[in-house]
Amino acid sequence: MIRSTGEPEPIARRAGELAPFVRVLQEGRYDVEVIDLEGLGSCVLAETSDALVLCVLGEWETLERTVSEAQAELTHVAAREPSPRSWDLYVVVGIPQFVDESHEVRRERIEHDTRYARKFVVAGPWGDGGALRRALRPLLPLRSTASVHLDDPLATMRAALLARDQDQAVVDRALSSYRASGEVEVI
Amino acid sequence: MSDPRLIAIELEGFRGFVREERLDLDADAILVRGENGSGKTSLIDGFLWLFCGRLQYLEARVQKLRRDDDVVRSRFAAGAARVTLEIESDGHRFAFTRTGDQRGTTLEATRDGRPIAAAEHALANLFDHPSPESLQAAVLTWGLLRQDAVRATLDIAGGALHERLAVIVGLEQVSGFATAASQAARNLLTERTASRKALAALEERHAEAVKRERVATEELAAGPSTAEPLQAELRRLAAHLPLDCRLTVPEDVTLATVEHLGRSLREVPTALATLSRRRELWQQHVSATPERVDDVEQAVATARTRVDAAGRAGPATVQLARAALEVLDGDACPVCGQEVDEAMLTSRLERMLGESEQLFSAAQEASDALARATSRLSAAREHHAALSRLEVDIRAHEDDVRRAVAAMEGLTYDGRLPVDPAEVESAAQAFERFIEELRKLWRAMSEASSAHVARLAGETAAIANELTSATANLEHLQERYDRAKMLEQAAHAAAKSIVADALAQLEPSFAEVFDRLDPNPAFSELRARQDIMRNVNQVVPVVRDTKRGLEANPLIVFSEGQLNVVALSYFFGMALNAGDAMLPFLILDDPLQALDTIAVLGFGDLCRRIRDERQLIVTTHDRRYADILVRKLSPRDDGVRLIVYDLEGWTRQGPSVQKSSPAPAQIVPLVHRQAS
Repeated sequence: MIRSTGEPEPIARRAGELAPFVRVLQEGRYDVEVIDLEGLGSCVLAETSDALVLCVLGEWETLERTVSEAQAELTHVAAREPSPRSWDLYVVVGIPQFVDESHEVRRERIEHDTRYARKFVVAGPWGDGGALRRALRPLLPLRSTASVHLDDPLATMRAALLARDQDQAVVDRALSSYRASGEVEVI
Repeated sequence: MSDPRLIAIELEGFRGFVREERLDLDADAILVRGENGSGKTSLIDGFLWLFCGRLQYLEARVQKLRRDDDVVRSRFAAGAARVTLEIESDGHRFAFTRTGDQRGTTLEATRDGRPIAAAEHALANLFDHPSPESLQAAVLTWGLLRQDAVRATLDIAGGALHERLAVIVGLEQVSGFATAASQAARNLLTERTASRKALAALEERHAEAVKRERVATEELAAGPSTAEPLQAELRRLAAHLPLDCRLTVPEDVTLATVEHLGRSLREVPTALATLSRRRELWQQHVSATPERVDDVEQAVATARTRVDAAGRAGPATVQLARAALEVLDGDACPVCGQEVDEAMLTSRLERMLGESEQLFSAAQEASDALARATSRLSAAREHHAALSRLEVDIRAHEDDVRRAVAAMEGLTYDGRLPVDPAEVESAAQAFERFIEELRKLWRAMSEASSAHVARLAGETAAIANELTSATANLEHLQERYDRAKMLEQAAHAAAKSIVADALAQLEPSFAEVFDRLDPNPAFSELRARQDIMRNVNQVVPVVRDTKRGLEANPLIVFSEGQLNVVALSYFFGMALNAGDAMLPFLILDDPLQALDTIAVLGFGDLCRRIRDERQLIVTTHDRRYADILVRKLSPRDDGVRLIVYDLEGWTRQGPSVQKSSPAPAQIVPLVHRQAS
């Protein structure tokens, strides 16, 4: 069922197209391997202790068949070492072409079928990986959040008010009274 | 310093927990599953009560019910409710115990078994919050998501959502300042409006005062009038007018009218007094007249007759008697020569002479009587003439009186005058009193008018001063209001800009959840848009269809389940970005309501990620979804722990609690093995 990555040219092409998947999943702390599966070509197999992911490239015309085959391959792989992780199988089908309305419906139908594995149909283009990262977010760790906390919000407010041509004396009096009592005093 | 970790919770006599129940929380994730009414929400309320000391959402529900409806104490337990939360931090074990009921609670604390003071502050400080209020706000905002608050995250007004987000990024002072600037502008507007009204009223008062003063001055100059009081006084005085006089007081009566009335009537008492005297004189004449002229004339005629008779008889007899006597000296009649009986003749002559003397005397008396009668006649005639003259005079005076009365316009009487001089005199005195009263009235009114004008002038001047001051005050207020309005607009624009920047930075956090649960195929991006409505900063949820470039409010276009995803996205987005105010735990009460399987699977994956960063406590009533969460949260690595509590029905002793803790599963790596 699994074939080696023997044919140089198509594999290289496929591997190049799969590179963004590899990069994004690796960033998500997955162990990643590019493998070649019969009928599917080059695929990305990725795992953590919580999830086993198979990413394949597909076409809209053969999407259902690709999904079915990828799901079968993934459950087969998972069955080699049975564990509760078998509840966390994910098939990702990447399709480079833009999606149209009819594709949306098919994608919805496929993704709502959660038997054996969850499916994600990821339509391209993926560009620098931002779109792909977003599409694969359910599989990725939480991003570290930037602190948006302001050290001195009223100083920020003062600068913003002065930038809006407010009288400095009025602004300073208003801010000082607000700091002191929570009420704005206008001279 | 490590984050505090919840170790255990004990509940007794609290809501659905009757007997003491201790739940181990020392795990990365705690899943509580049970049917409705099995005690899940009571457990969540236990956390809420311990941190906040109140169950405000329940108090709100029973606000209008009897006071004995205590929302805290169990109805099946004696004594106060108690919740103890054990927390581990930096190697120390803290225990916080809250006891009490709806009316009041106390919080006690121990550290490694020893009591510590100021438990409320100790609890806040343990979670790096400066005050109990700050900790409570954090718990309510992003620490604990109540079942009924899931949608409330969205259903609350946009302004409240803005406030929550602003708190997260430390912008509460920014939006607070903008709000305070609005309030300042509103206060000044209110003050200005009141000042304008006061000024308008003052202007009106001033105009009225000026008018009053002018009218009063004119009236004073022109013979003043004082309208109604004068009318009333005149009517009162006129009621005492004699001779049935009636005074018609004109509506526009003035002091000039009073003056004219007084002057017009001035002749009346004099005329009446004169008339009175004439009538008295006439009466005296009438009573003094002794006899009628006719009677006296008759007496004169009789006397004259008697005088004439006496005159005729007396002298002839006397001459005859004297002649006879002279003759007797010759003893014979000188005529016939007969002897005369001298004695007899002498006797007869002497008798005749005597009679003649009597006649003469009588004639003399008659003559005297005639003279007296003639004198009486003359007196009577003169008396009657005088009487007649008096009567003419009286009539003339009566006319004078009528004329004098008629001279006053508005004064009417029937023209009858009393005959009795005393009554006339009384009328004269009454008129005198009336005129005197008029004089007093005129004086009083005149003096009052002068004082009135002076007072009005003073008032006008005072109001003018007030007006000047109020105008200046209003101008100052207007300037302040203009500045406040500018400041308000600038502050809201600045707050909008600052918050928008912050929201832009927060959006990835919202997306962090939304993208994982991906509730809608078209609207695949969740954002939060800063908006200002009626000068109130708001945050409006927005979902975007990126392919078509459309935006919509999810409250309008999303189903209930999809909206729950939006709500959870905001809640987690806030919780994950709470910065310094972040809590090391997340407590979710039945967050899976109305979610479909895909969303629940996504939620399970999300919980697994969150569990790595926060201690997670989740309840659910849905057995199938609970199983999914158990599978998702069961540990796959050593050091990760899941505790599952099954609340298997509730009795009067409280819920039946079964605890389980799945062991870590052994996961054999498959990557890099497949080729072989």
